[in-house]
Amino acid sequence: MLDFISANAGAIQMWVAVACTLGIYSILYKENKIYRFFEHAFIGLAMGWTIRTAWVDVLYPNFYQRIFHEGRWWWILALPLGLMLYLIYSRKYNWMARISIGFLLGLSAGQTFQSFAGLYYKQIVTTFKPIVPQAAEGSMKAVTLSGAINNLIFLAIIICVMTYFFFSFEVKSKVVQKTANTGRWVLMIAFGAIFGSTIMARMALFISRMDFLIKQFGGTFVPWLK
Amino acid sequence: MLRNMVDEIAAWFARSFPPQKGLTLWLILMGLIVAYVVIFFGLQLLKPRARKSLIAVVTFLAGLFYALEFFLPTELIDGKETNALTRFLVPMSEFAQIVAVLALGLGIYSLTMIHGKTLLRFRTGWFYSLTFFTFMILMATFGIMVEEPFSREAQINRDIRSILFVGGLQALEGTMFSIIAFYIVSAAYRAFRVRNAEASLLMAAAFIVMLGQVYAGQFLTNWLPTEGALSNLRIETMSDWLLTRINAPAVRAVGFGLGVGLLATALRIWLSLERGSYFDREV
Repeated sequence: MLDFISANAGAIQMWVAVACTLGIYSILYKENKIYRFFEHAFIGLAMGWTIRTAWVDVLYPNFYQRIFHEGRWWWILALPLGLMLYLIYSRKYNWMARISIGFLLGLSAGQTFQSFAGLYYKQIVTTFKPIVPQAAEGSMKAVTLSGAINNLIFLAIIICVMTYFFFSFEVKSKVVQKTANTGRWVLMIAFGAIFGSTIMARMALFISRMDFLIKQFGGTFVPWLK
Repeated sequence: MLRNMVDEIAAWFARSFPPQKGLTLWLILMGLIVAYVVIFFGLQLLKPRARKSLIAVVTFLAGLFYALEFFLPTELIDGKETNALTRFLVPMSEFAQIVAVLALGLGIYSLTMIHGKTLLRFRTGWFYSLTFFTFMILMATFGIMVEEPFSREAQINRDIRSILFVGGLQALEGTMFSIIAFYIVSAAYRAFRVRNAEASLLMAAAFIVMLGQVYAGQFLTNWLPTEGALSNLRIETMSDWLLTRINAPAVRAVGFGLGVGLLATALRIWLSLERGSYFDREV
């Protein structure tokens, strides 16, 4: 049995992929048992792969191998913190799970300081682009008139949108209100662009599946489909 | 000075607690387990107020490492900006990874309880629970199984893993996310029906971006020149301009707001100032 599977792995893999693709697309007609089967198979496979990744990429090299192969026993200190999370199911001891949760929350809070700097400092710097046309000078690139206008639009949009999200106190100034209102209009365009991009990204996935069904799978039986 | 102190502590730790093998390793591990058990029952003796303080201290200390590493002044060593704590960043994140990965078991436990009960009591949908368990066990087993690199078993294992991963998981994932396109369109039709100027603007932007990314859309303005002022009216140019000159700064501005909010929330959590159902619960 296993030898048969191994010998025909390529063909079986293709048939499995075809069954999975068609099974999931069957939902487009209506809710049905075949879709539900593949949906649960997907959850099972995803969970299995997550377990595999957790062991192969984290627990085996960073925990098991270090303690039992390299003898670095102090890594076992991670174990009680991890295991204490499971006390969440105990009525008597569930407060101890909060020690581990607190540890993880504290770490992610600390990491937020670092990621904020890494992510936003550069963005803040690059937001300030030249808004006056100029010739190339030293390491500075030349800025054309259209480039300068685009940079001005870029800066104006950032100010307008940030003003729109300014909720700390009531805004009475007409200028600020108008700026915020412009920010709202710009956000509508931005959301439209995001919406369009998202649909196209999903469409690319759909085309990829169709390509697989028609060209790769269909092409094995009907050569001109390739 | 701080760097020297940290280096000395690290050196002392390495000298005092060397790696161990064989019986010594097992004795140390057993000793630590006994110590854990004692600490575990010792913690239970704490009064509620002390328990809250302990949680707050653990949260603070966990965050303190990254905060200190970030705020301490750095020196340029081997072309890298480092301080006394920089070299512990990787071990610390690996330690956190281990704890976080152990939390994965909570999800497995939860799914196992839900599907296990359905399966054992033959409730409606038990077959789907069986499907879930079968594929989870198959994927985990063939994923983790360690084999000799060039043996026949290794080849069989690799083939089955490939069938499950490429044929199963990847195909299911791609298909599952592609059907979202249909849902988004139908949901958007209901939610953003073009009723006012703002909704019209949103739809127009989406329309231009979508048209700009397909050949049929680009074909519409193919007759316009590729150079000069008129080229700006080509659909792909407009789409690109919308994405890079309107969408990018708007998203960046939203990101700045999110970043500041995240920073404030992180600070509140780190200092245990956060309030709410979870944080106010009695311990």
